[in-house]
Amino acid sequence: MKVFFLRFLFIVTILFFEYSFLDILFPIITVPVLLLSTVVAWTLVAGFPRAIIFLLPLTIIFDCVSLGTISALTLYAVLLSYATGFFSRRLLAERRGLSMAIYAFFSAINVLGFMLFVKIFFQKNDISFFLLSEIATAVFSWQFFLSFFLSFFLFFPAYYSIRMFEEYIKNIVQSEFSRIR
Amino acid sequence: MQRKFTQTKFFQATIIFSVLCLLFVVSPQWLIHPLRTVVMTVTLPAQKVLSVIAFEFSDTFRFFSSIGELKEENERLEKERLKLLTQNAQCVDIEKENGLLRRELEIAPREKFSLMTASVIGRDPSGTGNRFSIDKGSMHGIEKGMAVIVDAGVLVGKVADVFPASASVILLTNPESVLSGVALDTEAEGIVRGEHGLSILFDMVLQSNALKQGDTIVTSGLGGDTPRGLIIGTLQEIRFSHDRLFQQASLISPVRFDRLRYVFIIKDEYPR
Repeated sequence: MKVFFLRFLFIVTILFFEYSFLDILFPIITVPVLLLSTVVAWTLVAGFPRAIIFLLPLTIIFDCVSLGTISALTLYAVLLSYATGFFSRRLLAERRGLSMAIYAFFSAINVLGFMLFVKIFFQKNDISFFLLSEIATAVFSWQFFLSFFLSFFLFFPAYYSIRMFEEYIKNIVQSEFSRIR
Repeated sequence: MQRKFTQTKFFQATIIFSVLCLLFVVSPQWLIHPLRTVVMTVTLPAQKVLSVIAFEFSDTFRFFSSIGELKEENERLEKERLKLLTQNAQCVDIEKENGLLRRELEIAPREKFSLMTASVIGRDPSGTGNRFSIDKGSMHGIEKGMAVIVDAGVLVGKVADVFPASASVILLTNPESVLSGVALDTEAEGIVRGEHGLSILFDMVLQSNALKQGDTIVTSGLGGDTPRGLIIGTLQEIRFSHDRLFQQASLISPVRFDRLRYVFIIKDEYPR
């Protein structure tokens, strides 16, 4: 029960740090940068099958709180988490130095991925057939650059805090298990 | 040992994604609304604290970044002050005349609103949203559909969802936001709606009506949800609709929606 509450508290903290702090501090950005970094970081720490258990409540609650329905972030998070797991096992198993910078870059580039995902599948107004020009407009905007750099730099605290949190939870579970024995 | 396809991560991801797509299509509000209400109510204190810290950071940063622009800003404001002084003198005169005429014609004073102040405690970052959360809810008498303004009577949006201690507001730029508007000078009537979640459009204006660039658009009060006379914005670029049956124009709001910190909710539109 303690583990459950700690996990819930951790998820809610991330969620409202995004919703009530980052989104107010940087109103220009249109992407939940911290949550995208968290998806990548949590998948790296715990692997896809385990991470998705915690990422789903995080993204579902965020979508419900902000939009009142399950929406783009939840769907994109599943794809992103699977892709992160897939690439991390096959291409870059290391978790230090330059590899971390590459993961941070991967997390940051997903800002563009999310923007396009929303533009193509979720915008009710007419979808432009000139997708290339849409991409160019999105990439060369001030919003994109700010979101990109924020996502890049937020990846590191997200990764290390999730890793520390997972180790802490593991210790609690082990101590409880040994107490039972 | 060879794994079965059903044991692969790809299969898991596909199943999860399909279920979520189904939930997105069905959108079970009977499940989502209670969850949303509980989360918004329980986490309200934390949201308030975080939003205040964020606004303080933002204000400090804006203060330092605007130091270089202070001289220009000062000159601009001085010019604007002189212009407003002249306008104010004219308005005082008109107000006296208006009061006199109203007394003579026995017309009741213009409606005044019962307002409630609220702070912004959260903002939706996704391009699909254009929403923000406020720290007042059904416990404070807030209801769905109430108009949300800033101090000078400028409309910014409407209450979309209400929780016990907080509420969600959709901005005028939200594609779901639709209301009736009228031009002050030409009296052209039309529909004001959000465009691509980024700007506001004054649409469905008959070709027989004249539109003037720079004209102010206010709420017409039609439909009953929003009181009459709230400022929406000024007309910018005028064009024809795709089918060329109507005129439309982009609107610029005098308020920067991304800098809203305090708003007012019109609770009551009857004379006080």
